[in-house]
Amino acid sequence: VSTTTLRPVGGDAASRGPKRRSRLVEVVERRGSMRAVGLLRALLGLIVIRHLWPDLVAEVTAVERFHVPWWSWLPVPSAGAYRALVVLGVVAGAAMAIGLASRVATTTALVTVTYLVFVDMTAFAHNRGFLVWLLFGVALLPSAGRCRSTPGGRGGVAGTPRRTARSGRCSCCGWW
Amino acid sequence: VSGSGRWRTWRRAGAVAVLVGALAVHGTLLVRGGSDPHKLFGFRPFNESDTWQAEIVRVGADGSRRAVHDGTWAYDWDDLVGARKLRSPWRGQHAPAGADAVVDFLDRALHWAIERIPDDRDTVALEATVVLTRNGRGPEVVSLRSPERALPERP
Repeated sequence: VSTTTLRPVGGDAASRGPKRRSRLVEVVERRGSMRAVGLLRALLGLIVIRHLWPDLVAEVTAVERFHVPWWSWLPVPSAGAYRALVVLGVVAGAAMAIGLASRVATTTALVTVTYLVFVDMTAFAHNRGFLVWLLFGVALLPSAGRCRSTPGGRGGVAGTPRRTARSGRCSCCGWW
Repeated sequence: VSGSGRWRTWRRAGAVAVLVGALAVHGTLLVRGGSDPHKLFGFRPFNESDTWQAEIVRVGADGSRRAVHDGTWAYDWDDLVGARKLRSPWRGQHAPAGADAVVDFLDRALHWAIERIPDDRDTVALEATVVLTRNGRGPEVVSLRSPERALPERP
């Protein structure tokens, strides 16, 4: 995630804990910079826009042509609602890219992209599943700054447990 | 046992339960995916080497059969169905998600399309003859047919 100098979870907590912490616990409890995650979030925002762009400019939405929802009980939106969701997703992607309200934007993008993927199985591809998975992972992570996730955002170095980022990275590897 | 010790025990047990539960769910989905034509949540990392090609015909009220791409139909199959994976089915194509997924989509598409051709006053059903090869084995022929529809009244 980053090469920034790592430091253990708050000194007080460390002193209160067992003296001999296992190597594994020490590794997963380290804190580090979220700058790289912020960069990933910004790039994912661009990918979300790229992913939704064909639906944004298409004359016919997926629900107006032949489509197969993943589950028969899944509510299928009207064409107008589908377009509104696409626009919402693109706006969320743009907000992620520029680092505006990035956690809310990431969650919005995750919900929008996931739902639209589930609405039409005929358009599924592994890269779309991977996008959903990455958005899910990044949505769990704090942003690098108070309202910014752009690289170098302030507050990121204060850090978050690297276990969160590490588990996201492991999940991505596991997915593949 | 102190409160913190008990909490630690519960936390560890909870973590183990979550891990075991997640592995069980993943395993179930992987096994179930083997019998699902679309392998939902049991996706394989590599494409299948299956191929498919389908001849789709419209069945007239008099029993005649005409290919949907012979130029005489009021509709265009690609425009009507629209799904990228079912475009130009009369051309041989790769089925990266597997032949079963294509057959399932095509069967659903026939059912879907037969209800959306109001300007066609002659077709009562759509049929597809699908030729499949599964990872080089085959060919295997599958026949599909939509439900019959009542013809619209002539003005």
